[in-house]
Amino acid sequence: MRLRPLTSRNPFVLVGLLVGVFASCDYDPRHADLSFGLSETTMASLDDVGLASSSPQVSGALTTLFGTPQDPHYLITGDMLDGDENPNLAGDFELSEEQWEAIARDNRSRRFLRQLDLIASERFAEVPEPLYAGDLWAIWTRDFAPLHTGEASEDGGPATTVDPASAFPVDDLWVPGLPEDGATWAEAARLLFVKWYPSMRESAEMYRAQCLHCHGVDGGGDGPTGEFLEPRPRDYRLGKFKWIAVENGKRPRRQDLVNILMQGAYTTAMPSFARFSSGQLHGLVDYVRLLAMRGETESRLVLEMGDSDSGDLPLDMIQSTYSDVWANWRDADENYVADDVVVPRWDQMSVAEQVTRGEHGRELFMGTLANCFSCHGTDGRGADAPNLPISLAEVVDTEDHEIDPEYEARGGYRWVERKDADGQTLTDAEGHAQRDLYRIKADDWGNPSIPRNFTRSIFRGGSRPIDLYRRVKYGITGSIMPAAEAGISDEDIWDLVIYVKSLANSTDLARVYEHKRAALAELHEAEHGDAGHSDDHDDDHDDDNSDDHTDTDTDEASGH
Amino acid sequence: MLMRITVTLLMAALLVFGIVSWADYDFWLMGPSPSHYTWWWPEEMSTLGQHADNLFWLIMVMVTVMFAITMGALTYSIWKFSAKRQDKAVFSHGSHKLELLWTAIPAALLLVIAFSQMSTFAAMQFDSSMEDENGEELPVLCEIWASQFDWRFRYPGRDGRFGTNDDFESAYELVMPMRDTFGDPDKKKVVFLLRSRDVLHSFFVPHLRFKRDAVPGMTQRIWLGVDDEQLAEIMGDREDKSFDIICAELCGWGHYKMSGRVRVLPDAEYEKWVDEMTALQFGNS
Amino acid sequence: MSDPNASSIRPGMGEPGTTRTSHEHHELGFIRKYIFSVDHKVIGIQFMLLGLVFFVLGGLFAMAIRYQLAWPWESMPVIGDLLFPNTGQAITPEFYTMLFTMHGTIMIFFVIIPLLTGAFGNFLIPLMIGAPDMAFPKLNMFGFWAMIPAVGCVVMSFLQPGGGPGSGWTAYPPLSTIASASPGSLSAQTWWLLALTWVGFSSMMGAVNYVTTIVKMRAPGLTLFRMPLSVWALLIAALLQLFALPVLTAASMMQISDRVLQSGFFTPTNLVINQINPEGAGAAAGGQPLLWQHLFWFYSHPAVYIMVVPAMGLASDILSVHARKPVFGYKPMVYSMGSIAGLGFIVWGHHMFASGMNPALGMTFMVATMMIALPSAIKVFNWLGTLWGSRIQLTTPMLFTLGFIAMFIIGGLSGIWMAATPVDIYIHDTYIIVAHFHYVVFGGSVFALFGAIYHWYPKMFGRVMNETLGKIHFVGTFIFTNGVFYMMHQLGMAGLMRRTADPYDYESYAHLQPLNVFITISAFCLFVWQIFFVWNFFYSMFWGKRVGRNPWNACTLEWEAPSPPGHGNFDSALRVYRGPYEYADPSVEEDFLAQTRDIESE
Repeated sequence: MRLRPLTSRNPFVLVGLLVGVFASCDYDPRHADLSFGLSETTMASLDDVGLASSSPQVSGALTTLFGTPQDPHYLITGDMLDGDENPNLAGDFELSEEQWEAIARDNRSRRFLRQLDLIASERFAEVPEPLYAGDLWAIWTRDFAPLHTGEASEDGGPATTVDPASAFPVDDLWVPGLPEDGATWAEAARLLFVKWYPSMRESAEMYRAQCLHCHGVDGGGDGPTGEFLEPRPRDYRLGKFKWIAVENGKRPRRQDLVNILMQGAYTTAMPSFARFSSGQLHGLVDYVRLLAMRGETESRLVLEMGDSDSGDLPLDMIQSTYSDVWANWRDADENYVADDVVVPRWDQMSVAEQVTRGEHGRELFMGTLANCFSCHGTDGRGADAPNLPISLAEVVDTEDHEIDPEYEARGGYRWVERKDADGQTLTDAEGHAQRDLYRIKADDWGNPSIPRNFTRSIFRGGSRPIDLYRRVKYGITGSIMPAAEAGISDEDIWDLVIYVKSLANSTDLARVYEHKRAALAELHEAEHGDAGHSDDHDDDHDDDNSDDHTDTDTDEASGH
Repeated sequence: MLMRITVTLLMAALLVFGIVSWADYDFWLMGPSPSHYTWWWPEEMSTLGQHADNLFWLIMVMVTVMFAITMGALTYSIWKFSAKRQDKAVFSHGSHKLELLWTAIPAALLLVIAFSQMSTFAAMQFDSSMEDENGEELPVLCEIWASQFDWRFRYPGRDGRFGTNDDFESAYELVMPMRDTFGDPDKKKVVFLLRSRDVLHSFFVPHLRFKRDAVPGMTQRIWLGVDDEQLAEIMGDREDKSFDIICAELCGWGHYKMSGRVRVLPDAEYEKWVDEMTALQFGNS
Repeated sequence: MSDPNASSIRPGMGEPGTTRTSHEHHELGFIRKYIFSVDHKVIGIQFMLLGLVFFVLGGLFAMAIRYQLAWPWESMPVIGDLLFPNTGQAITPEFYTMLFTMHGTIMIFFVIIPLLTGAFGNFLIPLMIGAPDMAFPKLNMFGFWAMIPAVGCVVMSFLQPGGGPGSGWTAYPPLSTIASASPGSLSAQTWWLLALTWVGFSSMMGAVNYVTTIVKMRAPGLTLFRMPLSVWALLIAALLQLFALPVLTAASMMQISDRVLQSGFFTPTNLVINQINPEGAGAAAGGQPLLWQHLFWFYSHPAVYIMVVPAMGLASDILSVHARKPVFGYKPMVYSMGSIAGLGFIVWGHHMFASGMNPALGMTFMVATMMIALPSAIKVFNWLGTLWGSRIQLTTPMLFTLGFIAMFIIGGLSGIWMAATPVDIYIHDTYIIVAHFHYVVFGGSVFALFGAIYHWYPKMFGRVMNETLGKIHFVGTFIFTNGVFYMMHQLGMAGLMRRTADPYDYESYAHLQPLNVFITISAFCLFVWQIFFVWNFFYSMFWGKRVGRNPWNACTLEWEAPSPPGHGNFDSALRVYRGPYEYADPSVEEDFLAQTRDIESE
């Protein structure tokens, strides 16, 4: 059996083969559709009440309200129309002057720099497609075709390339921010890019490329990469966010979410996304809010269904749930805690005053009013302390309780040795230490809510004084960190903050911290000759800097 | 015959293509570069970058000549010494003279390149390049922290000391002064400390031809210097004069996301920026 | 008497008068003949099949990488459907880290090294030196079978939670040692290290065998300087393996120890990754990440010469045979290969110029690296000298060898920029490096391998591969290889970093996507084009044209044996009278004068 190769005699067939192979490569990659799903909690809840078969109804309702990942949008209800609200244009309504200016500036100098430069030099045909700008590009290719392709636009306009200086047909085509007295084609082209605010679809595309693999399609923090991260990515579906400037339990304002994108959450896997422009970040925030609202609506609908005990989702129930959720989010910006907070200038304070305030802070820390030590430990090491602060955990009866391996892997359990009054470990008959198993309390997302070890200077919501102030005053939404009691004044909080920052300024682990404390105590004694002085904090000490540079240890970014 | 033609054409195409594309990179430019980025390297604007680029071009000349000679000889051989044309090959086992010649000449060229670059390399990496005229270490502007998957820059604040209350942090953006008030290029050096919070990363700034791995457990003194004239020439038309930082050592799944920017400001504006950042640090936004 | 030209890969029964290593008179069963064989030819072909199968697997990984680079986060065919239902069938970033890690690992340790040293080393060495088999046939067999646990370890590493290893084939700690640093560093990385250890065992056993065989079992009259350059190259590569591999094995033991036994060779103090502090969990610390880099590159730089030197040797032989002319400068060629190997041990730091190591070290490595360019250049000139005044027959092996020379020139020349430290600071870890090593390994070693397979196929299987298909294979492979890797130089000049799953968000790289699409399409075409080779290889094995002992009219000893050679290889003991490249000798009528031909007695 012998097969004669096609090209055994004719060389041009060989060449033709090669050319054909190359030329036929006009590959258009597949862009598979995504679809929203229902969370595990939803499915479990429905199951509990025997309504598992109603899940398609819930999905259907949510699709009507919020669309699909390919076409995300809010359903506009009658109430919204009456109140002149349009969540689909949230960007238009909710952004401040400043934010719009930042967006326009970024569009000019970062996002669309290449496009705008080419437009400025009238090389319209060379304008390349920007990333994550499908809708914008559609407008450019369709409506601005006369500029760059020389083809007639859809309405049968001129067949030749239009003069950029001629008037832009304002009545037929729309461009954001067009001045009332009209503009030329070139100006309109420029405005298109400068004033562009991403559509929800574009933001969904960007979310898909940048965020989905951690945060999941539904924003549930359950993307494939998410399971390898500690802490887990945020589950938006509760509508709760931690690092925000609103009261405990309230919805975040838009700028809070933009700030998280800009700053990242340092020491977690959430990086700073500042490489994207303001417009893109606002667009992403729009999409995240949609996912959050969808999640909240989903869980509320399921609750209602459970309460009503039927598998039905009456229209008014859906409508009222939707309106409630939207109302929360619509008014989120009003939750901003007053911006007339004055931050004390510690950099301009004398050492003596800083010491006094820090000492007062320490007293509060160890006191029963603020009770910080009960979770964060007497040395501020939180869950890393050898003696686990009891109030953050529950003793479990090892016989009853089934240890959740995943919770354990994430540090949710601790064995704590029992000690007697002198601090000696109690032992049993065979000489083994007696110990109890503690289960650290979970936060609202089901993660172990592990109190921070300040000596590592991990401040995920930002390490500025105002950030710490907010954490103390308003707590951390969703976690077991509560808001400050009424009896703690703002002055007290600032003193607490300065104390906590001083803990963080120590750049080494606890055992070295101990050594430093001792050394500082000696130094303090030598300087002030007063053994009774508290020496727990090291603020403005000269030897700090030499440690920072010559230490070969890997230091946490001190104080930040 | 056909095969000979085909193969000769292939080799010749490679030869021509190679020479043209490397010797004249304009061939690959996508037109004038509104955003400063083409298929060639970004224009350098560091105080030492010119030396590195010159070395590149020196090697380019050598390599192009070598490439032309060898590929030319190869192509010519394929064409001329075909089996159809020759009855028998030349019975030669080699030539000592030729061997000596083509050992000595490349050796000399290579040694020339090797020794000509030593001072540049020393100026780039040796600690002595970060001392002032009295042999004192130059002060550090900020600490560069690489982490999974972010760049953070920790400034010591107005007092110039780390670990004090006026320290502030910049995420993503490394702002540095141009030292335009200093005339001497040597004095334009700005020293940083490069550190890693977790795994290996690498601090790569293409425009400044700088790259250094951030090693956990090591604090490295590095320097960057911007030539303000070149900066003005390359980026004068842009509102903000900034350029990319790219992580250049695999650090995990987010290696591709780990971007940052270097923003260069004239000295006066840099001082204003420090004040702004300090105000922000103690602000309530 | 069994037919020496019998069409099979069965090493036939020894004929009367055959030199035998053992006095076997009974027919061996199928298992002993083809599976657990001690015959070097069978083992060589086993390595070849292993290498070719993994070539396809490594190539598939490369296709996935290229797909992602051309169209980031789009739905990937096959893989997306199977593995990533929840992301719109796009791969995840940690999957990408696994792709390039395993692409590199497979290509280096399971394709090139087995094919060059395992397949051709085994098959050719005894034949080319006139020996009946290797010095240690059983050790040889164990050497092949040690690859199987290695394959098993690789498979196991894919099945671990977290997917396969994801810290690059370079496996720098702490990314590779701390489990929380990367999903691939959970347990997959340990399996990867075990796989590497098994590969090391295999190579070491082979290397010991080769050196002993070459030194002790040459036919009478075959002095060292009458050996073909292939044998010299394989000898030198074996010596490289002998001296360099133990360091890799030690290093991987250290890394396994760090991962499993909680030691701290490479873990600095106070390290916290993803909230996990290894010291807090009881691990030792105080180590240095740079230590791994030094140990790793101490092996891996000689490793790249292990991958290139045998290819150079094979190419020299093929060149000489098909150009009908002696190799130009035999002794300089030998000395060059030796100095490449020797210098190869003192240049490892050129992978670490930007690593934060002492810059004074950087200086010394720079000088040594500059010097190592010299012997490679000498070899190129000698090949050109061989071609000059020759009588080139453009057969498929010759075509691939010419392609090898062309691409080795490009790959070698681009290396000079990397040796220049100030330039290397810019181009380190960019696509220029990728272009460089793919030109030398793919354009160089793989092309030489293809040429060698076409050239020695008649000896292995008694049949010749189809010439026309071979030529088609060459033309397409040459064009598409350049299409894929040439433009990578350009990408690297623009500063594009390696190992980045999605570079287009950077201002510096935003415009590079069309170029990447071009490279990806070329890569797909290259991959698909290999069908000509695969078809040819398997078809010809059973239905190819049968040939005699010496279809190429070559001089070296392997062509004295039957095609395929039987047990014991040669009909009778050989005696060698001259060097291996006596082509176009005017003293005889034919254009070649075989090594064993006794002119005096004619």
